[in-house]
Amino acid sequence: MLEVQQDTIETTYREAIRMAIREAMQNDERVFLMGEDVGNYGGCFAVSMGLLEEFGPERIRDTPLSESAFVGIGIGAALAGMKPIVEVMTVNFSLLALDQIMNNAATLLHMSGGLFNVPVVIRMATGGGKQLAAQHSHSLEGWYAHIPGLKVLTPATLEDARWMLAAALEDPDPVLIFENSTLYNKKGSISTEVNKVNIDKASVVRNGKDLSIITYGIGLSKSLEAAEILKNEGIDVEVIDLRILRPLDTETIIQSVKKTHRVLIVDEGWRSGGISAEISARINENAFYDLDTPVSRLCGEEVPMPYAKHLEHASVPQIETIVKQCKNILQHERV
Amino acid sequence: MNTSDPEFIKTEILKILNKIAPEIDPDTVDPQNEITYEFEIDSMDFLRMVVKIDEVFGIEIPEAEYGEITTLEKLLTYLAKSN
Amino acid sequence: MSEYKMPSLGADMEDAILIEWKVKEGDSVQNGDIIAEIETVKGDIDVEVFEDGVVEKIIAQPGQKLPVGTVLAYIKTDISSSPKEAPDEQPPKEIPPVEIPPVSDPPPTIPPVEIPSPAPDPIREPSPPEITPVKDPIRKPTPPEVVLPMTSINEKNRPRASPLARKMAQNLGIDLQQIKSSNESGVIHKVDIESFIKNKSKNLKPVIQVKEPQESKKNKMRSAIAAAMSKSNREIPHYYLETSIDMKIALDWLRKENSKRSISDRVLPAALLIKATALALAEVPNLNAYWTNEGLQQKENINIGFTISLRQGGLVIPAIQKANQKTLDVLMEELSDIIQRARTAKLRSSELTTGTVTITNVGERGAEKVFGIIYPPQVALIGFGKIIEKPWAINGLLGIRPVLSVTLAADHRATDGIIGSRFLEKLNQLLQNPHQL
Repeated sequence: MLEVQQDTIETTYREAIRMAIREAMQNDERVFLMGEDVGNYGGCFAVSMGLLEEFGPERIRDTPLSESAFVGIGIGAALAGMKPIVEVMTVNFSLLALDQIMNNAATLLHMSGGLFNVPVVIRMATGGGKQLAAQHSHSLEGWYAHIPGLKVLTPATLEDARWMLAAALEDPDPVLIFENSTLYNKKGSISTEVNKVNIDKASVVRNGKDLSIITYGIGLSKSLEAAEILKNEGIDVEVIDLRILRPLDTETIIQSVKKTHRVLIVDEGWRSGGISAEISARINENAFYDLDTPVSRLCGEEVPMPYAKHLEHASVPQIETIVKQCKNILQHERV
Repeated sequence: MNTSDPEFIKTEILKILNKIAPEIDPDTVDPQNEITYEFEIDSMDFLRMVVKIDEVFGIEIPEAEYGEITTLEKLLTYLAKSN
Repeated sequence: MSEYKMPSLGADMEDAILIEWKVKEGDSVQNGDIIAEIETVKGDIDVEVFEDGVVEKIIAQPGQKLPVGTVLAYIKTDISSSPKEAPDEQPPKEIPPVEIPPVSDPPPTIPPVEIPSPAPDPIREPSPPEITPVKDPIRKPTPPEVVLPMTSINEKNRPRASPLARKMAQNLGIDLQQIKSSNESGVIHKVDIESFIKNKSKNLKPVIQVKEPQESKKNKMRSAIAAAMSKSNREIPHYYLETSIDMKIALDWLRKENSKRSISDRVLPAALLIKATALALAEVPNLNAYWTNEGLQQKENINIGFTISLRQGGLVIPAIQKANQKTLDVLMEELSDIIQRARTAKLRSSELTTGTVTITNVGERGAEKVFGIIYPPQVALIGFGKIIEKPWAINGLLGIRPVLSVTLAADHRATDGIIGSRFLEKLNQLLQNPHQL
């Protein structure tokens, strides 16, 4: 038997993104990184540490504290033929640039009758877990998934952290990348081989037959750990990493529902009007007659993110709550 | 068989109507009210009734005289007169 | 080999009880043959087969209550192939007959509907305080999310089952009323269907045929009509047109015609109206159509659904096929036959499913005008009111004329008022020339 030896390296989510940025800048001189503190400070989550020294201030540009201005500049640069990577510190701050993202980036292709596309990539941190309270910690990627004209990526694995950026830069239209801030320190090994990942399909990360957990971002690793615990109790859980919130890969979701007939959606975002509601609606539209239990959701509590550690912990789905919810679903038919 | 005996006419008419509208209890019917209303019959049922009357009594009621047989009471009078 | 399924006899039918087979395995059947009798909320119906072939295998047993779409039998249509060929579809043949509970039994136990209390999940409670004006020092907690129970009157006896369990039961021809939930919530799940099948194959029970009491059937018909009409009213944007038609010429002609005929051959105005409607529809074919997801589908045949109200309550709408091609005498004969069979609950399945348009004639019973609700997927309903003598002006002169009010209810998705107008005008022209009908 032929054995293919693949070289792997130990790395972190943060380093994987940095590798991706470095590679993009090496391969294409139109690529540059722009944002608050990305240069001298190395990025507020230290993603761009060292890149200023390597590529110089022309291509690693610190900006004033004005999201609207520098996201707008990124859009303008993209229109003029550059390939900007704009870093916004957190999704909460991105709201200051929402006008640029929604009214310009997402609409110009349409409004110019297809003449002007906007190949900008905007990266930002999302999610809680670092005690940064209610102005830095929310998960608003589901909001952006509402907007036609955008692609919304949520890398949850080191592989996606390493390779999604290249695919995003290749895309002719605006792409938003949401990096969960608690994932930056996540360690693991990835292949050194070039891995061209798609940015339109969800992936079945774990196969199971009793129940499908549909999740993304930080929910993935929590769900996988929950699935391990449930396995010991005889419950066989399938876990789907959505990877992309817009366009949503309905097909993969529906295939899984048709197999397991039970669904739990795990989303750190708020429940009301969130992406979990959209997923639930699509399941209802496409696989109603395959459901054996109501679609269940585990979402972030509908509160501004608390600062206190134990309250913050209690505000978002955790491994133990996922385990419990899965058991609840299955108890629909086990008394 | 005395076909002009009012009791006989009534019995036979109620038999005919019972066949056409078995759901209606003749005892609850107001003989001075419209047959079509009391027995809940439509024009087709009404025609069947007229055909049956011809079969049983040998009386052909012309369409022009339908106005004289609108209630059970009038119908019985009409038939008694025609015999 | 083809599947012979429980037919849908209208948008309002969900299931029916198989009363008897008129054929047995091995019998040859021809398109149009009556092969079984079923009991529906609209009465007992003779169901027909729509192809030529041989009854290969009978699946459903008399007494079973079967949802629309359930396979009742397999008809072998390709006579030349081996007669021993097994049915393509496996599942139904192992399913033993399902017992219908005797009438005296209490209704299946449905757990009382409760408003679920908030999940016991500790981190979901309590909800955050609402932001209240400064003046008001007391903050109200947000009430917990309440999931409202989904019930409506005609849903009361509907078993609570998961969509998957429902689908399985339908495919297997099992009545959900027979299945017991294995959990506290009372909801039937996949696992309950599976264990039901397992137990049934072990323990075969005799088939009991039960006629439902009249009262419950009446309620069911009411519910079925309620459901179909609510759906129609909700989904179809109706527009209404009305016109008055001078019936003097038509009625005079009819009177003259009938005076030449024996009593039993008399023609009623209803036949005239059916024929005129059918001929007018031939000129305005967009109203003789179905509206489906694919849009407007014109129907080649003009099959007039004729509304017949039943004295025990409710109504049925059997269709007179190809009414535009039939003489008044034939129409009279068919109308008479269909009304009697409707009253005695002896309609054929095809008569209930093939209507392409509906006539309602309640005017005969007194109302001057009727504004009806379309019977989907049809796109038009014609309402005839009472013929009333009215002052009528013609060429500057006033006279008394028998006047008929005709209304058209039409689906605005399918046609516009101009089409409806054209139809009413055509109908008027036809009724002014009764000898041509």
